[in-house]
Amino acid sequence: MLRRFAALGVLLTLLGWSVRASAQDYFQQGGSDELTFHVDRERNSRQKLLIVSMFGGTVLFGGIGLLFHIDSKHKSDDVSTDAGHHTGRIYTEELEDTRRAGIRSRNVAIASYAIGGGFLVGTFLAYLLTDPGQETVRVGTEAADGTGARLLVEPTDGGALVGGAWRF
Amino acid sequence: MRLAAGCLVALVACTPDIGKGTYFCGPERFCPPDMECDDPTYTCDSPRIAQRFACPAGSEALEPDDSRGQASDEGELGCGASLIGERVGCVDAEGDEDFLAFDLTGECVGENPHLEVTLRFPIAFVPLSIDLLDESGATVIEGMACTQSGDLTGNDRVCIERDLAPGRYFLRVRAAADGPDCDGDCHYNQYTIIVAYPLA
Repeated sequence: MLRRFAALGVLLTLLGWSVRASAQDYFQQGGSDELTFHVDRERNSRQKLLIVSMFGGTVLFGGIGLLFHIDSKHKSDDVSTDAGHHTGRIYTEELEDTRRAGIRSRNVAIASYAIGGGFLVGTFLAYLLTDPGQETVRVGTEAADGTGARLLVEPTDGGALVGGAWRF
Repeated sequence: MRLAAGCLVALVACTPDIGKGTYFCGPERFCPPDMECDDPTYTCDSPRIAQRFACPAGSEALEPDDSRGQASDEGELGCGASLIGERVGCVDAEGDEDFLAFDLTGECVGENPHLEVTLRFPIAFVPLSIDLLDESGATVIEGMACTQSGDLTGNDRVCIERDLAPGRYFLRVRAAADGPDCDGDCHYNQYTIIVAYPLA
């Protein structure tokens, strides 16, 4: 079963790369009977967890920042005035409390945005640093011990269907 | 990322920004941290231009009027008449009291004849009180707070409404007992007084 999936995967990969086929010598016209291509490796669970956690932190702190941002906006709007336009209002302790609360919310919003931004950078770095790279797969004639790959070529009208099967 | 950057920029708008000269001073000359109370206008303004209290021009013309014996004699108060349209006075120091005297000459006839006194003063300084005294100096009635909700003048009001028997009376204006006065630093105020005797 695994072999079949592997064969199908290789087939699809080869078709996807067909546009570049002219640049690569898949058919080993030089005489070799080995086929080489690259497959992306997968990240392990810990690496995925790290990236997801980092991104989660970005969303969480970004959201908290946005909430406090909106709160500070509302409170600021309650007390802010344009110079030269007397409001006719008396500056009371309640207004001062609102002003202070607005500044507090603003500071929390800035801190949350900063932490969220840190997590965003962390997410990006984690994504880059945990990149597993690519795996080079060689497909060729099966070795005598049966550990190599078997190249499958099926001629069709005007071309050929190419595939392979191998053991890992 | 673009959204986050936009939020950070927009945060500038989230800082409370109070323009100078836009609020009346609160009780005890209360203003935002970077402003001071400009006493003559009782408005929060730049410390650079804020001035300390001085009694308004003409507000001390009746001094000395610090006792019943020195009271400003306003004469007779007729039924349905206005005794004082709008007069500016000043309480400039601790212990200062302003007295004015009037005579109610006869029984007034009407739906609801009564003495009507309104005392208006900035909320920023020591609150004032007003009392009606009879000829012997006994208190007939004390003024009650009557500031209307939504008042946009930066002032408080104290009112007296009372029907009176004919006789001689005194109105006494002074700082309210135990009124907040910035620990003595703003124990002063200016006021406007209106006195009439409507019949309804």
